[in-house]
Amino acid sequence: MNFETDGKIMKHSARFVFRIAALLATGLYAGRATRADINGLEGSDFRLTASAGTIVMPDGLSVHVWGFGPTDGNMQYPGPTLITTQGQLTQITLLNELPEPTSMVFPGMVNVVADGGVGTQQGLLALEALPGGTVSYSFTPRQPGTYLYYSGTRPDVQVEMGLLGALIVRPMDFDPLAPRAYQDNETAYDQEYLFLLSEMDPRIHEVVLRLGSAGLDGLDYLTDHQPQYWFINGRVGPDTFLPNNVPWLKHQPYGAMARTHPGERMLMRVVGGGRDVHPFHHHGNHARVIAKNGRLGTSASYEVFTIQTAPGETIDAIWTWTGQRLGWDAYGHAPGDPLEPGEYAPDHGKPIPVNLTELQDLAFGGFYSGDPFLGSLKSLPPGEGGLNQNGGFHFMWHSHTEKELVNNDIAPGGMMTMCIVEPHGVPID
Amino acid sequence: MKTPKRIAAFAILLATASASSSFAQTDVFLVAKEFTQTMPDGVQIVMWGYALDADGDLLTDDGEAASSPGPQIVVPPGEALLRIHIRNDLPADTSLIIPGQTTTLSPVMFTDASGRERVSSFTTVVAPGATATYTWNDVRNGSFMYQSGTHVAVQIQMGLFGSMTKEFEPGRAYRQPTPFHVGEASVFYSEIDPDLHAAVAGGTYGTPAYPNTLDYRPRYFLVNGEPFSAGVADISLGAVGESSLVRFFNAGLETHVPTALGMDMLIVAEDGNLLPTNRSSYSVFLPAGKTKDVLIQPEMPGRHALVDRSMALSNNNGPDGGMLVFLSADIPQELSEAQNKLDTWSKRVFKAKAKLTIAFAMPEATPAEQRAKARAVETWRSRLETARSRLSRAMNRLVQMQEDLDS
Amino acid sequence: MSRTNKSVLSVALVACFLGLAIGSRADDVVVRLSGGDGYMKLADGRILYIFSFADFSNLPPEEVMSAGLLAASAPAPTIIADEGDRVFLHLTNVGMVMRPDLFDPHSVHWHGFPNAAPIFDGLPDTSISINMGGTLSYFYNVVEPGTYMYHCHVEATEHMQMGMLGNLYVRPAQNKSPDGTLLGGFVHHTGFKYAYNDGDGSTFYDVEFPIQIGSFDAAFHDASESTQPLPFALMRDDYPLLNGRGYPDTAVPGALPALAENGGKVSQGVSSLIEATQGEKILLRISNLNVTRFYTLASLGIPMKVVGQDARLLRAPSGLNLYRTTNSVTLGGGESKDAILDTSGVQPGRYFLYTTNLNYLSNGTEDFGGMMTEIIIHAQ
Repeated sequence: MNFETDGKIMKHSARFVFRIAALLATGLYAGRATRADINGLEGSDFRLTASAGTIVMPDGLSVHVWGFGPTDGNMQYPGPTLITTQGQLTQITLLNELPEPTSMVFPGMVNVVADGGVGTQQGLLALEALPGGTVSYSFTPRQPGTYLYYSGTRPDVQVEMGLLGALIVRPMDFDPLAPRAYQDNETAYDQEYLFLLSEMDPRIHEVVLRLGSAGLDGLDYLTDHQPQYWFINGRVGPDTFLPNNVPWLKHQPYGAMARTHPGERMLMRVVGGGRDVHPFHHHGNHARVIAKNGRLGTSASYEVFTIQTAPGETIDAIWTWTGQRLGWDAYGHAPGDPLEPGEYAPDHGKPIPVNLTELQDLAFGGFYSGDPFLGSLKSLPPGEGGLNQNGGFHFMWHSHTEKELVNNDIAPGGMMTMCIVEPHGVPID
Repeated sequence: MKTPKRIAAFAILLATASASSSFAQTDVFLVAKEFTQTMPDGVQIVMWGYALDADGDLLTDDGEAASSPGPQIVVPPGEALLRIHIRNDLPADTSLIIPGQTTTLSPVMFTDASGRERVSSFTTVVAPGATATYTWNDVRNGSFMYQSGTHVAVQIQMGLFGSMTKEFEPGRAYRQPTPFHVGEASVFYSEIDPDLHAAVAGGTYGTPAYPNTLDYRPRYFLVNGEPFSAGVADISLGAVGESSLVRFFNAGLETHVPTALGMDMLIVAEDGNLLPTNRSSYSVFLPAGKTKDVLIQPEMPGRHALVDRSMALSNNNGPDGGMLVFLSADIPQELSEAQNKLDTWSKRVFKAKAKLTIAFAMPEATPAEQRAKARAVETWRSRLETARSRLSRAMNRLVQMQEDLDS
Repeated sequence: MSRTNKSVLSVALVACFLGLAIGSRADDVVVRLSGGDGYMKLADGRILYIFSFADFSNLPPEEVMSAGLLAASAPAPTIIADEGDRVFLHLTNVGMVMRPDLFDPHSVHWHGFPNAAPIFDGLPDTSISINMGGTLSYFYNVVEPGTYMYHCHVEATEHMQMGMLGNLYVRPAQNKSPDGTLLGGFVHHTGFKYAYNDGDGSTFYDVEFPIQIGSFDAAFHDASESTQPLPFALMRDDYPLLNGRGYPDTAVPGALPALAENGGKVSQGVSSLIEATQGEKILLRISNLNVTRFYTLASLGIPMKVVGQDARLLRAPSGLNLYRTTNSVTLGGGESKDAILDTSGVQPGRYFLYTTNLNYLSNGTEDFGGMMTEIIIHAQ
């Protein structure tokens, strides 16, 4: 990032770096435990409210959003990640504080029973809660996995407005100390992250704010859809790097930064929440696709370097990084040094095979540690680097439809986050 | 699904087959013609489509109604030959191809202003007013689309497509291990950009006013030739527990993702090719020009929405339309009752659990309170026990019925 | 049948210029790329300003700075490696001749490289990239065969829309099996080629063609050339391409004529014309590096057997083959598929590979063009 010479880059990157620096200053980055769990509501009796609110984007513009939230909490985008268990009767009670009817559908669930009296009406796809009304849905998930829920009332408008969320079904025999995504050892994992992808066309939100959904009739915004913001877990880059529940993003509680250690198995739960297909490219290594739409596929699993995420579909994949067969020692060991856990022994002690270019010819990334080796931090010229706390290897995970890596024309941003392979011993929460 | 249209196609084909029963063959007589279709909002769209030539002579226009998609062509199992005889009543050259079916193609090329050759038709054309026969000698089983092979960017969008299907054997779409099916239905997606249709109909296509299809913007999204609107017929899947083959086609220019609410589908084939493994899924990824076959064994009776999750759910930018259709399944009475029991008892278990939790939280400072609490706990504990045992009985019964149905 | 293509960097390059390598071996592969700007010609005759790489593997390092000026090519030079190669790639940032106001760094991202380390991953945010006038060396120990792709990752939305995109693939070690090696029931002979180390000859092919899906928004390129604000979110690509050309230029064999706009250098060297003799197996190494949307690519008349995707054999750990036969494949940016077209029983003649997103059969506002190429099957 060349601040002196190119005004465009300076403006955008400076904002980017500033937000991250703010995050470091707050100390929210510090680890607490050894494993990351997905943030959400756990249980089988969920009480949600659909209501409106405003989210403020990194480019300074705000967007009027409709979202689900816990009845005792904020409206949020996306809605709470609901975590229930296979075979468990699960009930969701929805209070509608929106100015229009709304509802919920749960693809992948069979026999969803809707219940409601006064304040409800039968909509086209689901029993709807009228403004001020309450409706409840119950079902018993038969198979574990990653699902999503969203509005069944004019979903072309209401999903765009923000009424969607992830639904995670733990297997019946779930053991938090030895977690598996399904009842299958091939689905065991050490770390677990959700990546719910979505997009927004702010023109639609403006019309709905002023005129309601009916204001869209006759406009071509739904058929000539022009998103300007692209989200992971309801945040755009670089907000995706921030931890869960930072106070200044009260309607966007979920972060999307993934962290793991070499050799660990990371479960990626990738959800297509919006209306477009997104190619989710995870730098660093291939991932093995173990399930689609909550249906286990370990017997026919395959590896990809980009996860094709279709609207309304989910993919579970296992990602692991070891650095094996790089042809040099990723830790920068001398031959006599001890092996790290998970290290690929044949490369141990091998030097990096090229001379790295002189510093004056290089541009440095904010997440560059100053050194090519895992766990090593070295000083960089003043003002460079500084966002890499532990010498972890940072990999960008992002939409490879690269036009989605902007926030309303300002790059970088959009549908991107980082995955950090932290050195062993660095705690991960 | 047994729509009248399909029966008509079948009847013609059977008649033809029996008329020449000395050797196996399938002859279909189509007329490509312009017609006008009224959209749910009253807008009239000039379409190009296919009509079955009723008397099979292709000589005169007997006023047959064209449609888009065109008539369903069903080649009987075991039949290798398909001949489509066509008369072109359109104002432009046209042709017929079936992607995925083998035949000799004779592309029509033209030389552009820079001296480069370009293809205008993937195979031999039939000129306006003329007739031609397109032949396939080795028809594979599966689900395919027949379509125009000429100026495809325009002619497919104008409506020149239809389904061509063939079973492996009666009641089975593909070889083993594909199971037999009882019911059969088609879900045929297509799109309409009214501006493009108006440009073609008004003769401005290819002029600076509407130079080409690059700015294609569909505003109608159709299932089996109509956008959703109130009163559109459901697609019947037969009874609960019965397996139905549902063939998906996408003649649109964009990817769609038909998504079933409340039922799983077993995806068995793509472009007429059996997949290496069968995958159960609530949705089908359906890119432009793709066909996919699924088997559905409905577990629950009633209407299940099949919505396009890529959100093509409006009619000319009006609400509640587009690529939406309902799949309906009937239920054996006995099963329905068992299901209701299951629902009732699972709700009662839920309620009793909640009440018991409340009972446990009741105060017990005074003897009266202690007695009240003990009573409440006792009551709800026993009700929970009852509900649980009834639930488990209902579940066993349902499982037994499902197994009976499956076998 | 074999084919020579000037823009293809052969793996057989003699490692003459190893100035930057440590512990190099005689069989190391050296690739020398410039990163800069230049021009290409779209199929409707429009001249388009681009950023991209150019191949100077056969020049001494000190000559790349001057040779690389206005040498950008669309697509970037194809990089082909063999499994087991050690590839040393030296990227020289020659700057943008037509944009003296720009001082952008560049990088090379080997898209899909397994177990990558950030230092050679080309992602500017997490490592280093190279400023104008400098040269940066990347090292790749190539251990996994398959179809990858590469691109610049600096200001990715802009630099990729501007054209810094290329084919990259790795041939498997199985190609070098001793003559007569038994692969299951399949007998290997010297010269046989496979998409992957399949162990059974099931990915055998006679001829291979990289097909990179792309598309450009000409207004964006014009805005860049004239230093106007860049429309990122509203990008709408109007020139769909295969290997940097629209139809019918896709079907022109070899390179397109050199352009005066870039000083008479050839900038579009990769043809998409697919040719085979009846009975041969064609491997299409399909990748997508456009930055705006998904495309579906269909083969008319010759079914595709998809045997690999994202540089991996389509096979489950159990050994179950997940190959599937299809008429079309759908790829977003950053995805790849390996498809084999078996031409036995296919009548000699002209066939087509084209997008079923049929409105993209356009070169700008010109009809009968866009994302399509020809497959010519010759009689035996």
